[in-house]
Amino acid sequence: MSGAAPRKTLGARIVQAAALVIIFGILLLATHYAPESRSVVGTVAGLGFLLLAGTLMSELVETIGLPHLSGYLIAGLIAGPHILHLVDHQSVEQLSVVNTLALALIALAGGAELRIDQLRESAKALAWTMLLQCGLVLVTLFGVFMALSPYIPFTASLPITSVVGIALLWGVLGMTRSPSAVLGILSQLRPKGPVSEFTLAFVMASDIVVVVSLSLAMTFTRVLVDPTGSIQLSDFKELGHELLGSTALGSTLGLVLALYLRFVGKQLLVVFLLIGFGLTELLRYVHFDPLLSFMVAGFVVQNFSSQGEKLLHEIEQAGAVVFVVFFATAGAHLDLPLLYRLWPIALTLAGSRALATYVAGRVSASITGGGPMMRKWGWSGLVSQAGLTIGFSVVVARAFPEFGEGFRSLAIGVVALNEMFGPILFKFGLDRAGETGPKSEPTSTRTAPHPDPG
Amino acid sequence: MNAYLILVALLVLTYAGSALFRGRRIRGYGLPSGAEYLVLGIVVGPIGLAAVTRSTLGSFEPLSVTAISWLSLLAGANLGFSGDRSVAKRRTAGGIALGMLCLVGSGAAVFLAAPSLIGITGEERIYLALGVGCVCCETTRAAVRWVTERYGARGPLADLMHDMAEADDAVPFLGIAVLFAIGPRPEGAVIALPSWVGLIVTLALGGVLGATASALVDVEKRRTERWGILLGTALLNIGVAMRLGLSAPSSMFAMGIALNVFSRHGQQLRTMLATTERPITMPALVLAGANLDLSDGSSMWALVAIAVLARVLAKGLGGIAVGQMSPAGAKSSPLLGLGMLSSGSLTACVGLATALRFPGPVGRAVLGTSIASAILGEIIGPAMLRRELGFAGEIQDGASKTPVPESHVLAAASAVARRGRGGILAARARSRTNMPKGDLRTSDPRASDHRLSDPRTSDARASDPRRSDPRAGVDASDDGREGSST
Repeated sequence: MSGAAPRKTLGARIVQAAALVIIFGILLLATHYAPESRSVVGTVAGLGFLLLAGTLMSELVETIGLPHLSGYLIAGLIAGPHILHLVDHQSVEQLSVVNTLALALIALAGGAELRIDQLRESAKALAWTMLLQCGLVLVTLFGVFMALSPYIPFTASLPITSVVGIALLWGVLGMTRSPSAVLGILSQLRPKGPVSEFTLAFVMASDIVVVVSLSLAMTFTRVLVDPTGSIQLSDFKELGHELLGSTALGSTLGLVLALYLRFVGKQLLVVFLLIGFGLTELLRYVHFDPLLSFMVAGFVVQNFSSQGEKLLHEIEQAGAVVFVVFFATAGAHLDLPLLYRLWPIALTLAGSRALATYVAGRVSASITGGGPMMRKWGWSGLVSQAGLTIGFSVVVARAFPEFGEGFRSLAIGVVALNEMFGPILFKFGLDRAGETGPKSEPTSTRTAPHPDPG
Repeated sequence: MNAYLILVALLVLTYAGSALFRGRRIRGYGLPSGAEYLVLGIVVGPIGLAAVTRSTLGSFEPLSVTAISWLSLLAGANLGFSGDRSVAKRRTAGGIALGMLCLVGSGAAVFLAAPSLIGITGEERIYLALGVGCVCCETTRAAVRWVTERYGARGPLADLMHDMAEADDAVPFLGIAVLFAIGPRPEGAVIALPSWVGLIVTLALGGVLGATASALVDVEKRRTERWGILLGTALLNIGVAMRLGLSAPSSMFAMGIALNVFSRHGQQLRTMLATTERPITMPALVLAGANLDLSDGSSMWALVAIAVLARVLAKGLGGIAVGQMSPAGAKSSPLLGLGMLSSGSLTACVGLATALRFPGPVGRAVLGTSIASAILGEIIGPAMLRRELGFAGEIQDGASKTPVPESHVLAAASAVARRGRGGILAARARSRTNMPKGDLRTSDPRASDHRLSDPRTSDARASDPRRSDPRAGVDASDDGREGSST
């Protein structure tokens, strides 16, 4: 994931394929002869395997035009608990610790990719697209969910008011995008053009909208599910506290980071680890949103100091390894049996979301005067969903135990589809929009030249 | 203490270590083999301030084993090299022979004393003897380098000491490979391999994965991807070895050797790996110190004292043999061997690995011996080595005890450049003639004058012209790239 690689020879591809076979063979033998092990041991081996297999698989799928991200997911999926069982459930759960670090890096990078001047230029387009994308996806998914509710196991027996509340939550969940998938694709392809720039700005900005929308939707659903419940102002107070606190803390962190980059500028990997593990824990403890805080921090560094490029470059360097494990673990997390069970419903929901995204993309591009490529492919990066969506579904599951587990399972099923096909669609869109390939000039840091001494 | 807090503390320590020792400001400060971090671990550990409990340390076991194994990879990758200079086969054999002598001597002493002192008999007695032997055989190259750099020593004896200290790293890793293979099945393991199969699998696993990583690195030009390959292969190796109940450090040592043998970019890989040495060594030493357990009482410490004394004797005998057999040691006194008493991070790591694998009196005794050896070696080794180098006339009169000043470093770099070995003049000549970098760089391995480098990091760094060029920011670590990629 560290950027455009020089084209490799057939010999190099054969070496990579052979290496992949060897490491699969070694772990297969190890799990065959020592099928049970202490969990920590499995985790260490799993981490190494997913990192290596993900890297190799991404190189190999590149030859058939798939993005690296799909390679990571495929490696995780094949090695995961549902196919070869080389990495067991417990290891996958323990490896999720990496997600904390990866999400911190993604949020930092996402914030740092947003530039005030670009946001000003595209403010109108962003506002229209946000309104249409969120509105149309919300309404469409609400309607489709209501229509499918008699066939969904966990809603079939619920009263209509509860189903309305759940459909509302599902609609909001559909509004979430995947910053990680977008950054992953951009980091690999280093595209230059309106589609990639707009997609990034939109996905990052939509996070804030989704956080607010989800809080509101949960407040309303609570009333709909529990007739004795009521809407309380304290709910909004908590939301305000979280948003304002996260923003304030993120701004401070951004200033500190900028000063560090300016006056020290070394050992950033360790600094990222401290932020990813230490600070995330602290933020959770004080009930702030780590993602929002880190995004604001990245934004501050980019727009209020001269250290933005350096920060992005360092994140890319550090993230190259972290993101492989993050996505490979996500692949291993994909619950295939569940998807098999729910596939008709999941497919309908995922398909209707993609359709709504497409329509909203076309309409908003027409309204805001986007170019032909924006009209055709501006929506292609908005289909992916990943960890953020699952994270929100977990929040819902905790808040509504009466239907939460079913809701979460269905969300995982839909995310599995969007996660597999979304990045491929985005890469396809960027290719078709002519934003990838030799003509595209590097921008910002996803683009900074790589130190390739070898 | 919360595990997260400990993790953060270790990260801070890593940061401090990297920041202090990768730069040029603190060159020559600190203790030669890093025993201060062992002591720090003892102070914060359960027998000191108890800021860290045994159960918390237990949760850090995979982290400890991974750190130890990574250091083993570094040792394997550097075997046969002193910086970027190849070590003569004869010296490698000599270093290994000296290490074996110490292993056998200390092990035999403990084997004989164990039944009467702590009542260990049977197979455990063999494990104990072998484990203690493994932590008594190494001389840390960091301490040898520290002395030669601090006192500006240069000459055949200094080179000999360097080379032998590099070579004897192989002995403890082979030793614990055997120990882990013959030892009882670890808790939770479901497979019982015959000892000889276990030994072969340990080394073969490292060899195969090392060869695989070499092939992949050779077809991959991007540094970040190379890190991914090295990290992935290493973690897979550690995990599989642990899963089979084998010695992960030994397997990683074999992997390091394979990287060296099979890769066309061995020098680059060693330079990459060297940047991780100090950041990983410091937390590993702290964890080793924190794991020290004194619950066995004075009889155990008597056994440790016997082991350490046997080590001193064996090193002394080895030193006499080296003085007699090697022309480079001709001017040394019969106490040359005591100059090789310093043992540091590798020994402590081998001790910790054994303690984690053999929880009980065997592991406690081995770890205790490794820490006692490191502390005693810290007191005696550097002083005796300095004395011997002085006898050999390899320390200049009036050599300063203070770190080599930056101006001296630059002057030395200029001298190197004048001899056509890269550096400031070479860079200027390149800029005048528009000549590519490689044309002025020499293939002479001695170009990496080790006096220019940090004693605890690869001296290969000194050969990089950027690092001695003030216009290039003096130290390439400033760009943070290598470190951050790790």
